[in-house]
Amino acid sequence: MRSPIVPIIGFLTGIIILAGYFVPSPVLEAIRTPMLDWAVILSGVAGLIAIFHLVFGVHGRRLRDPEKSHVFSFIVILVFMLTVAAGIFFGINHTGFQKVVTAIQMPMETSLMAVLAVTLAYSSLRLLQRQRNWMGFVFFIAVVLYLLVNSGIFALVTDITALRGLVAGISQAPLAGARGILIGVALGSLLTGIRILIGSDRPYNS
Amino acid sequence: MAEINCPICNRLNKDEAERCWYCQAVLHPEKKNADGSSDWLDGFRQENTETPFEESNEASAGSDESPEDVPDWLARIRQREQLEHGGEPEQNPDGEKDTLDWLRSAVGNESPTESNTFKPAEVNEPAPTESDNDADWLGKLQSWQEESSEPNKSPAPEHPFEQEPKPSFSGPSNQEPDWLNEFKSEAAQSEPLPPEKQPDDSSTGDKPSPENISAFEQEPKAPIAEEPIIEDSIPPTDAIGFSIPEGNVVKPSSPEPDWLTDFQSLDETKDLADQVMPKPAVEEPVKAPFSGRDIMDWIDKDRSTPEEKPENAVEQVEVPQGTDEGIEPAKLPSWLQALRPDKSKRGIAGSTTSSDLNQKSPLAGIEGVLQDSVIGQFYTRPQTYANTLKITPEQENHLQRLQNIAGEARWEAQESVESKRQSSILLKAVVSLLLIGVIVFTVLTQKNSLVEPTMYSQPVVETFNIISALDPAKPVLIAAEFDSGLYGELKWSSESLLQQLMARNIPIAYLSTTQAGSTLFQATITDLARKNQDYSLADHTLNLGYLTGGTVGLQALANDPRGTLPLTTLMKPAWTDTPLQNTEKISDFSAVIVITENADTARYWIEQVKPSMGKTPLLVVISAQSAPMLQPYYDSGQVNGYIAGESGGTAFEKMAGVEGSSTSHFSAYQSTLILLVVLIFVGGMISLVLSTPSPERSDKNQS
Amino acid sequence: MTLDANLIWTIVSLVLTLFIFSYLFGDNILFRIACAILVGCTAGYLFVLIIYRVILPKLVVPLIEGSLIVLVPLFLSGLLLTKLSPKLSRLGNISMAYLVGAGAAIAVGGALLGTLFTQITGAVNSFAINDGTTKGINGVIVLESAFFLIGTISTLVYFNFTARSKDGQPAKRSPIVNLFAWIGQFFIAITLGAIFAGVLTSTITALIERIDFIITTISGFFG
Repeated sequence: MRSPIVPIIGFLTGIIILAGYFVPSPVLEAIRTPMLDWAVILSGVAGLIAIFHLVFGVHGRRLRDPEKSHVFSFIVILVFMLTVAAGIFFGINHTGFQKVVTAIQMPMETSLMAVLAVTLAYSSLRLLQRQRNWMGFVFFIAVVLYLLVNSGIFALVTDITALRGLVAGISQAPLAGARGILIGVALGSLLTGIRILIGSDRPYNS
Repeated sequence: MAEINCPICNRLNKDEAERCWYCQAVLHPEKKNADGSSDWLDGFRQENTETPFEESNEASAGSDESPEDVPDWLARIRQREQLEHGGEPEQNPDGEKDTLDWLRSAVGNESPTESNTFKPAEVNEPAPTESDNDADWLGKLQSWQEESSEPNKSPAPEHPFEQEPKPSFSGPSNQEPDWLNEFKSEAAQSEPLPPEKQPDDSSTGDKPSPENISAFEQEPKAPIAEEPIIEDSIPPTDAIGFSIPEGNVVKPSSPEPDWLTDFQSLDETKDLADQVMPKPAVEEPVKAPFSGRDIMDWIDKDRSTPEEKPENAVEQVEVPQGTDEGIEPAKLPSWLQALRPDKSKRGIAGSTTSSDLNQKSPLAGIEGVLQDSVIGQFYTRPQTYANTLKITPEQENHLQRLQNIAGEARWEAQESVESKRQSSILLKAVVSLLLIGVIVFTVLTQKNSLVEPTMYSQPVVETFNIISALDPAKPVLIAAEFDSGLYGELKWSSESLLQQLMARNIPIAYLSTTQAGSTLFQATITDLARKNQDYSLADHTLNLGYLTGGTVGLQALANDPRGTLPLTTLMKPAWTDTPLQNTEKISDFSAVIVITENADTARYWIEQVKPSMGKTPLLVVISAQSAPMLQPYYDSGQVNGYIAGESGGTAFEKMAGVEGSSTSHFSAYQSTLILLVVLIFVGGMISLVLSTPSPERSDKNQS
Repeated sequence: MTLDANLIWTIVSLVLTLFIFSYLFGDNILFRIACAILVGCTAGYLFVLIIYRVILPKLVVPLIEGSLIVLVPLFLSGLLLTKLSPKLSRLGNISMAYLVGAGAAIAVGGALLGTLFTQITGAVNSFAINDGTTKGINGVIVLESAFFLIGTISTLVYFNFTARSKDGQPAKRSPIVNLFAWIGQFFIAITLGAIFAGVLTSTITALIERIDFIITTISGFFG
């Protein structure tokens, strides 16, 4: 039988923090505030562990594996080491070190999004080829309509009141579905959180 | 209740029972053996109705045998014998059957030798049932006994069946199979049984002689449960004293083997076992429960040559007869004893001779049961089958044709896949060139947009109004919650808003829960500050740095911002001698502006921080992809205003009267979107008209 | 021409941008090299960021200053570090339980107070029968609000797959539920269509931004 200490710690932590939402008590606040601060620190340490695992666990293992290609893993580890060395040497506030984000990270990630635009545009040509039901057809019409709304071309019809109202209504139409989705997501988060608090789910037990 | 021991298996039975519950042997042979006939003959004399499957006839066990129980073949044999011996055919209008009539006629004429004789009277055998049908063959058996006992008066040998049996049968020859015809010729030579020795049944026939009965010794002892038993060749159930499973009895489909004729030619000086039971032919596999591989090791090991066995022969443990101490040994019927192999011939028979075998095997203590030749006859290796498929040349031709057809179809499918792949690559290239071409063209030519935006959405208007109404003395908290991917869009969308803040000298404190947000935002306001020289970044901006933990960090910030982010990125106190020195909590800010491309991040700020903000407005600069998910929060009043994407930024700039990055790129943006709409619409119509769905897809869609 | 640091970084940005754009011609080694550089840079920068923004100011500095309460997160951090070792990883479950418990509680509180109550209130408040501008009931508002309310409910019902099974019959939803689910599909299709259109828009904007950067950089090289 597993030790109950771990779930009890999770339960107590969650109950104290959750109680702070509903019970405005200075004593509870005094306990809750440092607990939240400790959780922030632990999140940072967890991030460090995740980076270690990614770089040395995954890519380091690929370097040791003779069968797999390890050129790219070598590049990852090399760039990681150089970046860390530069950050420690120059400091995080150094403008040169910040070029890692502005000159390397940002251009590449934005370029990936740009390539995604071409891929999505090509995939959009075949919307009706795959989904040949009425829901697919409504989806197709909605995509075309909202692309036109985003493009601002309906400004041509601002003089016509009825059409202006129609365009405003079209802009508001996703509200109902979005609200339903948000409520559903909130219900799911609520249930999952309660299951974790009462110990039904124990994602921390490895 | 009194109990008695069964004379055969020595198990306890009720006194009043007539037959043993276990082996169906007669329990009171003295009652039935009134005429002095041999006990073992009683077993043959039992009626068919005495079988364990016929309970109704148990009460009449030992009574007259009903005519319908005698098999037809037996009745015919008796009739023939009677005719041959001058007797009247037995009157059996109902096909009276007798048990072992064939046996009687087969063994009646042979002169028994010393080794083949046995004294049924010397063993405690069940008395034969008195009936008219048993008289003939019993008489013959008795006469056979007398003949055997007269010459030598020796005790019954233990293995009377070892020598060559020479059975003889009598009966009408025109109705009998060949093997019976041969028996007739021998039976004609046999003497009839003396009347007092004959059994009560009227059937005639030769008594079985020891030589004939020795044939049974060599009879393969098939396991009753698994081997089908030819009905005509075996007497009814209780005649021999063992039960035949009901399902195993089958009608012979082929003429009976001429096995008896083979016995005439047996050489007594040689191995009778091999002569009587030669090893089976390969093409006639004997159906046996065990294969050669399954034979237990102790059996397999002990298969030694016949010459070796006599050296390793183990003396059978002699069971004392009639000792006062212990249990009285069972008195086996003579026929059963005759079935057992002779100790002296154990080596030839191939029974176990090693001491280990006799001590460890399940048959420990019982000697000479297993016979190598028997095992060799039954327990053979299974037939192996090759893995290759036997096909005729014609089938092979068909197969070749089918392969050719399939190969052509596969090649065509590969061709179509290749052509599809090439067409998709071509289409992708065309789309890329079109999009990039339009963008390059509009950027280079700096053309104005096709349609100037004149419709401003309500959230943009609210945002503009709020920004315009902010208190310049209070700082604004900006959350740069974006990653590098959509930085360009957010930068263009937020530029004019930031310029508005800078224009009004509103202090800005910014943080980020993403790793690149604060760095990128710092770069953004640095670029903007160059355009606005009056706005000093050092005096008016404060980088609170990176806030880790996601929602936990936001809740900590909402709960205690000073304790959560006490220092700036320069490791200086953030809340003293700075624009934030009068700020204790989140609600002390004039506004909180969240710049993000992720709807979930906006939701986290709304859920965790907004409740602590009080009347402080929450504004959001969001990318176009997340705008629909923010609408409900704006509708519910949790978000006071938002700018969505390039179009929102352009609208804000129009309202602010400035021409920022959004406005300068709006023409490219609008042209590209219109082109995309055209491409999607045309592609959709072509897909709708030209291609037809597969049946599986249409079924799936309909379900 | 002296090589300015900014120029160098600009050239680096341009080269990396073109490496990524080479994916339009298919997967190739340039694209993979660029991805490997991106992963290494991101991991390295985040590592340094956590050290400077979390570990140093929140653990090391308070410990140097003599704060004892920081021993608790220090102890929990030490336990969490045991997750790197397969043998000792069970010790890190305590810290993980603390983190997960805190996160779950925050998620529950935020979902309840931040979304559920407010969104339901917003759906109800949309039935502002009297909007204050006109006397009497504004029928348009009522119709509009009813439309959105039906849309919200039918969207929620669509994701409800609870069905009742009868003897000898397969489990299926009741007709009313099926009707609302069918209507919900309509609203979900509209919302997802709007979201997909927004994704296209955002990515097109990113494409415009990158092409603009390339054009600006190249034109800057050539004066």
